[in-house]
Amino acid sequence: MDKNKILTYMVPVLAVVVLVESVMMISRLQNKSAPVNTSNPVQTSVPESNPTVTEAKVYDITISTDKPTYAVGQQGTGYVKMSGSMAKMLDAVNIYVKYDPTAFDVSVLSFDKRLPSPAFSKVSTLKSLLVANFLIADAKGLNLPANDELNLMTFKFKAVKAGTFNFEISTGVDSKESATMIVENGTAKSLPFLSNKLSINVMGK
Amino acid sequence: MKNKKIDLISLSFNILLIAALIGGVILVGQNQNTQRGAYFAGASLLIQPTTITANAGDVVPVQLWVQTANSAKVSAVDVNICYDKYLTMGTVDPTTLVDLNSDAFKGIEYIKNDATTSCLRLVAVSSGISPDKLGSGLVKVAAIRFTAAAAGTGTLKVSNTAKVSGYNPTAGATDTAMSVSSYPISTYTITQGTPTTSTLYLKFSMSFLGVKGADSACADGSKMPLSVTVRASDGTTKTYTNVIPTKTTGVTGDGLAIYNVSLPLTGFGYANNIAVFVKGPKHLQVKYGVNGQQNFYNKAGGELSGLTNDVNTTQGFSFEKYPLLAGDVTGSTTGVQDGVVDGLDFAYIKSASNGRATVASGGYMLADINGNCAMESQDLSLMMVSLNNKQGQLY
Repeated sequence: MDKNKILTYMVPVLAVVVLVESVMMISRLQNKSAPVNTSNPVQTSVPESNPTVTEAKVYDITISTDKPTYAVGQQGTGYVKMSGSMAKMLDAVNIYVKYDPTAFDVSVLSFDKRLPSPAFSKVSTLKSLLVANFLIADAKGLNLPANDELNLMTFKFKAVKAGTFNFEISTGVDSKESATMIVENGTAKSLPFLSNKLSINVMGK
Repeated sequence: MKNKKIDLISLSFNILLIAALIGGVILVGQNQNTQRGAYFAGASLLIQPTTITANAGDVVPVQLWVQTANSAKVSAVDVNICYDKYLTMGTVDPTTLVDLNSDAFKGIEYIKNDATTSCLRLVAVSSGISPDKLGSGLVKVAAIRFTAAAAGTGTLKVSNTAKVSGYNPTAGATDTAMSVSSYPISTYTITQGTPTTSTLYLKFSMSFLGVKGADSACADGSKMPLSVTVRASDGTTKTYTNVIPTKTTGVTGDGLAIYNVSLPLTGFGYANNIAVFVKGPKHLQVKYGVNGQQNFYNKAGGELSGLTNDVNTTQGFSFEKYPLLAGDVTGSTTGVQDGVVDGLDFAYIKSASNGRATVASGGYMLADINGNCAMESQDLSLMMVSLNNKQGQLY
């Protein structure tokens, strides 16, 4: 076969092969970096163990949003929920959620109606924290049955810049004043919990 | 012949063009002031001394001068002097810290000290001085007195918005502005000074949130041992524990009992610009940085000065208008303070207040926040006030 003819046919074939391989490789990379989504339609990442917990956890604190990806300028809603494996009476719940105020404008904190009005709540851009401190005045505390989900905090946010950003529970490692805790009535002890880190992708315009 | 003529003409034109091009480039490169009479004279500003060394607490006097070119007469100076955070003008009227050269300037048209930016704006005018008697050449504007606030190195800088104006001798001229050619910078170094070896005394009055003058029989001074930490501006600290305050019969405007503290600062020789940190047995640590403090002191260092080695002459400070926040009674170990007021403290005090326990006068209960010898809902309320207050400071 004429050498020229071979080249004429080989070059475009090679080009197509390289193109197809590139597309496949990029698709695989995207799949690897996407957050895990199982039966729960709301986007969450794999729960991470609270490094300070040494005893069996009683509660799960979960942060989630209504979808996994936003565009810059788009608004969304975030949820911080808590549920326990056993029934407990609670005296106090202090929640601190770390976030990036340069990535999200957060506003409008609202809370479960079963909780009293928070003794203190704030979107702190100074400390990059969402803060809510619930103190239950009832002598017996707040009854939270096993597996009953309590909506600790709902917040509205607007994505400000592109990138991947996290919301996660503050455990007080950086600052003891910002330690999330759930305090049991009677014992006045804090109860162990696990929490997740939520990663949100924000796409540029 | 004709060709030669054409060549010559062509060459001449080329030479002319090149010359015009070079001339144009030179002309464009020069600054052209097309304004008619923009500045009638030049001037420069000076700060003396150019290098300053002082100890914290010292008065630091500086002089502002103006020098006019060609003996031009100066009638007004408008400057913004920024002095960095290691100097201060305090909270007094800045007019009292500026001495004008009354021979050249008759009044301060405008003065403002912005403590946030550490800048002083001063406008001095010569109203009332006839043109022939106005100052010219090197003229002192004013002496300004700063105080060395803390150890560090900074600059005194006149910003480039400074203006100088004067008397334009040209008949019929309306331009009075002078062109300012230099904006001086002086550098200064403030040191803490050599600490004294003799023992200084710290005296202050204070109060505890919720502990009233009346009905606080379980809040005797002996039941309220304090931890007192003093900190100098160079970072030297010393802590004194088990400091017993003396309960007086006096009360604050809110009815809180006033306690007095007199403490020899053994091993701490700094008399000026210190901060004092006070913590009680069921209280958060509070920083006191200024005499008569009434709210959260959110600055680095401290401004407390005047300690001596004589308990009778040492400066006494008044802190009772900003009481210690109460409620830090427990932590991860029950009954042991952890330095924060949180849900653990709430649960502990709530449990105790629900028990409604009481003790005899002079007794003690850790969760008895108001010191009235009875556990009640007010103890819980006081803890929540402290929590709200502290969270507001933090976040």
